[in-house]
Amino acid sequence: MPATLPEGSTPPNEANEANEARVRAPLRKADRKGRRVEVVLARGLATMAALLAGAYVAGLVHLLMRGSSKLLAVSSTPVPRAGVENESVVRGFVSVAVFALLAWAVIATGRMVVGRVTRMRTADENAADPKLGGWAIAAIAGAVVAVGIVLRDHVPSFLVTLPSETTAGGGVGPEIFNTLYFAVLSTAVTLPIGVGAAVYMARFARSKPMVGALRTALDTLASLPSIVYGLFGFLVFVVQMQAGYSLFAGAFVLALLNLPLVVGISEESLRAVPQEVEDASIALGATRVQTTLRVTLPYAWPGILSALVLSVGRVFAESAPLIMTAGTTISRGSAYSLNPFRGGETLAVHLWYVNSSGLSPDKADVSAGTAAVLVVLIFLTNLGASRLARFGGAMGNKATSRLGKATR
Amino acid sequence: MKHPPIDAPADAKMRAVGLSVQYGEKVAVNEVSLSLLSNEVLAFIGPSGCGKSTFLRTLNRMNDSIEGVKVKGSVELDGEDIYAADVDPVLVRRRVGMVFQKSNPFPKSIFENVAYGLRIAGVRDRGILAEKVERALTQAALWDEVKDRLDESGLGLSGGQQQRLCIARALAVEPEVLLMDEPASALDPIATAKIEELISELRKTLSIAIVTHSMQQAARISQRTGFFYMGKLVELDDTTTIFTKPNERATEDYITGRFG
Amino acid sequence: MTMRATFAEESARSRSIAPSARRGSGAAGVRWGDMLARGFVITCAGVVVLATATMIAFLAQTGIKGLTEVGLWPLLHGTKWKPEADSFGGFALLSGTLVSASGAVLFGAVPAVLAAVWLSELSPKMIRTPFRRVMEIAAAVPSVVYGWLALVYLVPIMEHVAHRLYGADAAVGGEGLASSAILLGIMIAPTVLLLSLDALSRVPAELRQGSAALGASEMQTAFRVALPGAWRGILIAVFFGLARAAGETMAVQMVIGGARKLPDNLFTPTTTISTQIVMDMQNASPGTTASNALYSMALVLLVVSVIIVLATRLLSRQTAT
Repeated sequence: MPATLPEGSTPPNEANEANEARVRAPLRKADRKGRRVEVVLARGLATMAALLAGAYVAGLVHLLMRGSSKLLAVSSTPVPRAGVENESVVRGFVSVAVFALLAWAVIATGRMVVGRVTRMRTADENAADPKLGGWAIAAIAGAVVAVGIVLRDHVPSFLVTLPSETTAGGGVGPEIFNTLYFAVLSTAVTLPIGVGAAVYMARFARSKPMVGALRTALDTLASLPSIVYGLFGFLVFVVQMQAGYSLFAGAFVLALLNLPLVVGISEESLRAVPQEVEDASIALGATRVQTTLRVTLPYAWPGILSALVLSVGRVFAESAPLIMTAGTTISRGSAYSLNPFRGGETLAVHLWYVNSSGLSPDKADVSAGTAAVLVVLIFLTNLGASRLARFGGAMGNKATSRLGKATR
Repeated sequence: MKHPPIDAPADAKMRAVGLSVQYGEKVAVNEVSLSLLSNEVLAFIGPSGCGKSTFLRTLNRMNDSIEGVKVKGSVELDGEDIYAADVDPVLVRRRVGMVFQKSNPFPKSIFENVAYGLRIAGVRDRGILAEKVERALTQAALWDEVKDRLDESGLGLSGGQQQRLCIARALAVEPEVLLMDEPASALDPIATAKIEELISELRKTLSIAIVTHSMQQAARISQRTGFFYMGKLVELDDTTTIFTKPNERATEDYITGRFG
Repeated sequence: MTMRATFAEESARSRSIAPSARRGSGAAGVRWGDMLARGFVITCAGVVVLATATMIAFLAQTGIKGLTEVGLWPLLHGTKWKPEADSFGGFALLSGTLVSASGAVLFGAVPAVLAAVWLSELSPKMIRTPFRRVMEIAAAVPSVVYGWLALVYLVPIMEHVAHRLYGADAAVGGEGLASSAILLGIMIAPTVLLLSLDALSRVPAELRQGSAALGASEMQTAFRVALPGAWRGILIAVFFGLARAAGETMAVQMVIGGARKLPDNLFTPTTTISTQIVMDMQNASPGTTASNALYSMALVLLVVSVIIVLATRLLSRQTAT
């Protein structure tokens, strides 16, 4: 026995023997039963997952590449105008958006490259990407707007021309316009009602039956297939009111469709507002409503905004309810009209329509282009939503510290 | 690099030689050498963040799954380096069991909790399973309390019972060494006393290394005690020596409550 | 004492100039604002409830009209959907929906769940975030885009497969239940995967540690601890995918062929409830049985999805307790 072993701790003999008998228990990898099977299984799972992810990446990349011929076709000769209401203004907007996207892509890549080079040169792993100053951003924004307006007749013609039913060369200008207009219209309904209902749920809910009814209503809305919304819109606006297909009906139905999402996320963000922040406001003599308007809502705003952006993404993506409420056509005269009581299709509907009843000879290219525009829009909204969500964290902290100071 | 001299008797169950652990830039355990003898209870004490838990987790390679952890030096189990390239950490853990600070029974029945390790190791025979589960639960002094409700969820037990269930679970696979990371820190005094009694009983069949924040506990249950401070093993000696006349100033300061 | 007296006097004086703390007297403006805001918020809540009730009432009213005209049993059981011949047998529609949706679970949800287990338990940590990002984008891609991609790429492949299976001259093609099931599977997989990942991440790390400490390999821990620990959440994810697949309209319409009959096999055209609604509604004049029967089928679809959602809710409620 070594000297360090204290007296009285001499182990019983039989235990010692038992230990020695087990000494030869294996430790080597090769000795473990079933290890081989596991390795094969893990490889199989990895392959499957890689194939799954690879399929989506390949599909999206392929789609963007096929559509890019339409999206990047900048023309030196002016794209002819159809001569319809608002066309020039819409072209200006599209053109500015295209150039803004380009500028953003260039700047973002530039920042990343410069940041990486600095990190490599200075061996400082935490060096941040360089930032642009406020003036530089303003100057670039101004330049983008100017260039966009000047070159508004030279943007890819696919983005600014009218669709064509039977001949090649149709564009999706009105579809882009309608898609964005739908987003605005339906948000105009979702924002007040959705946030109002969320505030009610999070802060003012007193009556139990009302809360129960609201929860049930939201659960029901969330569980309905979108085609059912379409049927409802069709029944109310097209059949009962005999208003025909209209953007208004479509926007209303989409707003209804988005309510559960917006109320859900908004309520969550409102509930995430720390009690201390509200208490601080109450302690300063603010009423419950003042506190909600001036403290709670601003604090939860990034979360609410990201819910709205997500709901915009659904507006872009939805097709079935719009086919039944806003129709599948673009009428030449009101292609860019702001009148919400006209019908009109969105990009998603166009993609379906071209394939199911379109007669144009280049419908494969038009589909690819439409799908690419749609995917780019979705990508941007998703990026926006996640940026906002992250921004929310930073904002929240700032708000707390500012309030903390105020109360001190 | 010369390692500080360690007492490494031939029959040491486990032996760490010049063991260092790094989390990214931070050195959590710095050049620790010590041995764990057969059938002893070895306690580690020290202020929180001193590296004692991290060190304990290196003894059955539980740190492997944490990202950015680098282990230098060697740990031997019966003379075999468990950090050798061809050693399977899974097999190491079957011989060196572990009980955690927070009891973590699986959301399964009491029986299945204890049988889990056996099933993992490939035991299918229902009779053998039943027999080994009973033996483990008896060893953990839990059998009488749960024998009538083996099919009930392990989560329905009290905190102390849950921790003993976790000990039974670890014992069922018949490990040679049991590592315990503050096993009683979340328990009331009565449950703690039961666990301590259990530890003294278990020493007859296996070696135990235990991390504890309670010096009284270390004094009650261990034969030897090591004092960790800032990632280093400051002193390791008989428990009575450590608590009555420690050699190092730092140990004395800690024990007399001047810091920690 | 004197100090305190002055203090009391002081505060009494200041109280008299300060706005009254009593409600209603000095702060009338605030109160009106309060009531207005409160009223607005309650109105919003009311509008949501009312709109939902109206929607269900409208659909139910027309749907029940159709049901009384056709009869529930013939509607569910009959195999001929021929509005021009006043025959409204919705079995082909219903079975089309159910078969495609359950096929989607097989082709989409099962691989998605396995991939989620691999990603959260076994994969190298550095690929986890990029993998998630890809799936988040894939989950947001509009279903018509998937439908179009399937029309262009999947349908020709399935046609090839069909002829391999049934012979070169057989009356089979790429359009049919096989294509729509695979398409729906591809469509729901990202969502199911993301929701499953969330469920897996809620399994406490301590359980995984406990399992590892008992000598379980990563694979054993993944399938014996993590997966059972997350199974409710994963089931919810699968049900969510099932509901989405059952309700999908336009993408399915593009690949299913649109024949109003029971298919001979998985490679011949048929239809689903939602597809048939969107195709026929444009031509059915309102108020006729042809129109009402479509609403009845919508009710059937609604019942199917409500059952799925109720099951999900029941599960999540159990998880909560």
